[in-house]
Amino acid sequence: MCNLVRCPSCSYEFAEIYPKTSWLSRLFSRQSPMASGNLPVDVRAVSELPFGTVAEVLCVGGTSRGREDRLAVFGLVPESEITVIQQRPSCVIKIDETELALDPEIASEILVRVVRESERVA
Amino acid sequence: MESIAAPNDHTADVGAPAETVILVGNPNVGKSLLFKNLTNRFVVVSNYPGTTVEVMRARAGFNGRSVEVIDTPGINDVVPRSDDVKVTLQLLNDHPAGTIVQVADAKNLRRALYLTLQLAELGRPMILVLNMMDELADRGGRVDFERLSEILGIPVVGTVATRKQGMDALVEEIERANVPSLAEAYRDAERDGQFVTSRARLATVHRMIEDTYSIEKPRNASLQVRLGFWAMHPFKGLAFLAAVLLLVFWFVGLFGAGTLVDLMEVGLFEQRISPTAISAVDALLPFPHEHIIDNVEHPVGLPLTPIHDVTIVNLDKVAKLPEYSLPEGLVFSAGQKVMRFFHDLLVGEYGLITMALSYALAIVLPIVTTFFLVFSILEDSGYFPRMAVMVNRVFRLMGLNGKAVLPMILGLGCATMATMTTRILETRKERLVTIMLLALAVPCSAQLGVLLAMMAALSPAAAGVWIIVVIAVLLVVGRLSSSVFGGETSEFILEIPPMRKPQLANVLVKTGSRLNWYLREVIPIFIIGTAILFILDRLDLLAVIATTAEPLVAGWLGLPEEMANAFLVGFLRRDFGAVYILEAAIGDNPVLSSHQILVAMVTITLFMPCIANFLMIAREQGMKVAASMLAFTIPFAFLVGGVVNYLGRWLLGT
Repeated sequence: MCNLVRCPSCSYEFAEIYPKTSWLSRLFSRQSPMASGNLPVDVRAVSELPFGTVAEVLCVGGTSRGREDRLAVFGLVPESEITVIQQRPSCVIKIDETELALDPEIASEILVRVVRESERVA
Repeated sequence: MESIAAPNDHTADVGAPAETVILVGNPNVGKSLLFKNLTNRFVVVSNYPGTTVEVMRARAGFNGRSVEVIDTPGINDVVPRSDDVKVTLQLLNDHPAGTIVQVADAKNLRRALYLTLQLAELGRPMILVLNMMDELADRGGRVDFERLSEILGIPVVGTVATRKQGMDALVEEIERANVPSLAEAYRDAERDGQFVTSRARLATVHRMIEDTYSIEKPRNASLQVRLGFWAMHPFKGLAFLAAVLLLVFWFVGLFGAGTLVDLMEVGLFEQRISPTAISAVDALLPFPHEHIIDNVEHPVGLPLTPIHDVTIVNLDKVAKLPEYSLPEGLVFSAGQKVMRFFHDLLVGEYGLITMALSYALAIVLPIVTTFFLVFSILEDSGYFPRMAVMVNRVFRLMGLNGKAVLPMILGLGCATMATMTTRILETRKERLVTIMLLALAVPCSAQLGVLLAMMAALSPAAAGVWIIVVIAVLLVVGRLSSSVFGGETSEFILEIPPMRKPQLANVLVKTGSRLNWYLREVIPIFIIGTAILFILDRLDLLAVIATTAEPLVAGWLGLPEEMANAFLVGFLRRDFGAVYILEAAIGDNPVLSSHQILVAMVTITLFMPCIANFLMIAREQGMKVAASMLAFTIPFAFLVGGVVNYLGRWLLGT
């Protein structure tokens, strides 16, 4: 079985080895397939990042072009750099000079690679 | 693409001016301020039917030539997904010879260029304006204007609209607008036949940014940025929200509903206009009667809390009152009875001048004006998206998202206007749930003043109970409606603009336009409502209704049976219903205990929407929806009122 995984909306391919999850944990886990347990080690969802983290966007998520278009107008596209402003009470991220608030679902489907860890104590 | 109906003012290219300039751009880039800077004062605002989209037009003098300038709503791309884009595209269609002036936020160049490329593909003469250059400079950013102009093949100008900088250069460059040549930009672009893919556009924008734009992260965030951050913070944000709500309550509920209303109602009407009208009507329609002449008190001061105020001056005046007595034992002729009827219709207790007109101008106008003023200030400062961030999680429980906070807050001013504003919500379910909650549990500013006065008569604990009951009702009914109505909730993707100092010009224009709408759409309905009250009073129906409702009002709610009138009147005039209860509570002869006041307050808050709101719901969502909402709120209000009554008595041991 090959280790390639492809994101359905942006075709980004994960070519790295990811930790094995047993069929048992997948059965009982309520996490979405995008949760960190099933991803390559350095790929995370925006919803998990502490505020202050700077990350590069890999995949914008969602299963339809609608989501991709709607986020693209704010500059939220693959290869763009974002900063996490806060997670509570809502997830707010910053792309260039635009601040954007997002639903938790949307935030959990945006996959990024961390560029700089948060300097603040979590 | 379905076409949008032409705007209401019927301006088209027939007899068009020599040149037309169309301002296009992302939201929040300062387009409207630029529009204002370029044009003279006479602005025609037209609304596209079926949308809340407004388009502004005015004339400008460019180098001695008269030019028409059109301001469009903010758009982020040219995909006809939203009304804003459809209207803008329609406008561009209507003016094929017009010049496109794209206004951009200099510090958000990436988003602007994404739009620029799409506009450029339309093949029209255009220029690019980079506004807010000061904010870019604050952040240590720089743009290479020549290089950008070279790549796009159009003039690029920098401006600071708030300081009116760059206006001359802008006017000059508009003359030099030309059709963009994107050969250089799309040199290596990936194409799908003759169309450039959006992927390719993004990649092109990326390269253009790297070529022309640089920004350094500043060390210390300015106060504006920090304030904007605090307003969304879990704890500081709540404190911020509480402070804002307190300010609104004070300014609108106490100052507006108290001081200003007294000034208008007592000082203007009761002391001056009404007596004059009464004398005039008496002269025209003489039948034997004598009006009571008494001292009308008018203490003018500043309200500190709902019950304490500082009286600065007393403007008492002796005046003629609407009440009159009839001479003993006199039988009226038919003519005299007719005269008396018209006399009462105009200046009687429920008279058109003494009550309807005074209500509209003296009570509603000051309250609603103060509310719209505060609302526009908050709107212009950029606070509302942050409020949406604060409440999004809670709103999701009700099947809404944070964006619904705007109509809900507007509902504190006028639920009728807020119901119309639900058009900004994207799905039908969100609109229905919001309309339901507005009709049920959000007290409008006309009620707020009275409710605050009543709360002052209660212990803080009882007032707390009222607040808790209202919030609990909002959440529970919201959740239930969400399941009942079914459907999708739109995704919460909301841009948070930087907090800015509100611009006086913007605030005044927004307040003025809302006030204008209110005067034309809502006031006439209230005048009709008062006329209906007059007829009911004439036919002695009010007493009949009280007796019929007695088992419900006295038995279930534990209130004196006359209170039934309060509820009926509340439908026609929302505040009057509450005032009825207030009079009974803390008026000259208080007949309600604290507990009864609480029950009455809860019931009147939840009781059906006012007649204006009902008609608006029918207009927005159809009569069936309006009628079922009405049918729900009546029994529901009584149910909750009764529960509060019995629960309270049981807990208090009475």
